[in-house]
Amino acid sequence: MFNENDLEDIALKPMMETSSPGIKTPFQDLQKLRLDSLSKIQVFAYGIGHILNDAVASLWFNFLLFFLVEVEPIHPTDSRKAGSLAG
Amino acid sequence: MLGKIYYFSTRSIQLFIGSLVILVGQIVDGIMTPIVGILSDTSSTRCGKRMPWYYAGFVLVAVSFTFMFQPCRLCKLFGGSVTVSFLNYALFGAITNIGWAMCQVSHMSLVPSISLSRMRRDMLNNLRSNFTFIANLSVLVLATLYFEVFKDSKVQFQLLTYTTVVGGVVASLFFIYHIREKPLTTACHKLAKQYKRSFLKLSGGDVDEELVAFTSSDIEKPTRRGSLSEETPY
Repeated sequence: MFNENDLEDIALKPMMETSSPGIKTPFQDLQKLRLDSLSKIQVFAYGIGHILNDAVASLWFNFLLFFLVEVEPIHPTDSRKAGSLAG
Repeated sequence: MLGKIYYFSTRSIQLFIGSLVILVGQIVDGIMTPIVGILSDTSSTRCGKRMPWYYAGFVLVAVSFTFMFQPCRLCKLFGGSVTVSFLNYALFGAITNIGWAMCQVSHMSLVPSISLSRMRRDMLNNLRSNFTFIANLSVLVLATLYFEVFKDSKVQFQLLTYTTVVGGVVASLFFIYHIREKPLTTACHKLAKQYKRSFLKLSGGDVDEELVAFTSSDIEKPTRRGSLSEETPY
């Protein structure tokens, strides 16, 4: 039989053979096989699964430094003046 | 004149401390990302090997990030010194980034284990990038809106955080409800077997059931990096 490297070559084969138009090869049937069980709604759910992270990162990089300097300064001196500048 | 110098010097101190908070967060993120990657490669639980990390990270981010754009909450407990105030923001920032790394790594590494098709994997990644763009854009639009509508900058930032976190949590709950890792990977496992069987049949050889079982068992193997399942172009 074959080892892993051979398997990779063979697995590539059907793609290359079916790419030539007009000639029907038995490997075309393979392309009709499903390769996952994801429904449309699951694909969508995967897509929006990272929104919390993206939104948090956006807030973090865009506004956190401004917030810690102008709105809620960690160093308390003259915070009233600094705060009024932000408005 | 003196007032101006005084103002700028306190401002630069505030800038320094503020950027220190962000630096702490980024360092924690940088350390946690590879650690989570390595640990989630070897972990295996009842609900899959990536999803538990997502659940944990999701809770950490959602809870700790709401404390970021707020007045110092720990100062009420430990007194309002600069150290406590700094530790407050650094702590919540660090927890946020731990959760962030857990969510990001587990969400990204879910793709190759829930689909075997290269096209479908690409599609999932594309969709993910699209929603990254949409999320960034909507945060900026929302921020502009709030900065125009509300006068008090503390209110602006608190509302911005709450809206963003609530929106993100709803999206994450939708993801958690619909994506169950275990059934999806089991399905992939079976489909890979089926694919190999049909392939061997078509290529004229005898179908060796043992070989079919061996090659498709690679898909869920937790520790072998760059294993057959990740590389084989189906």
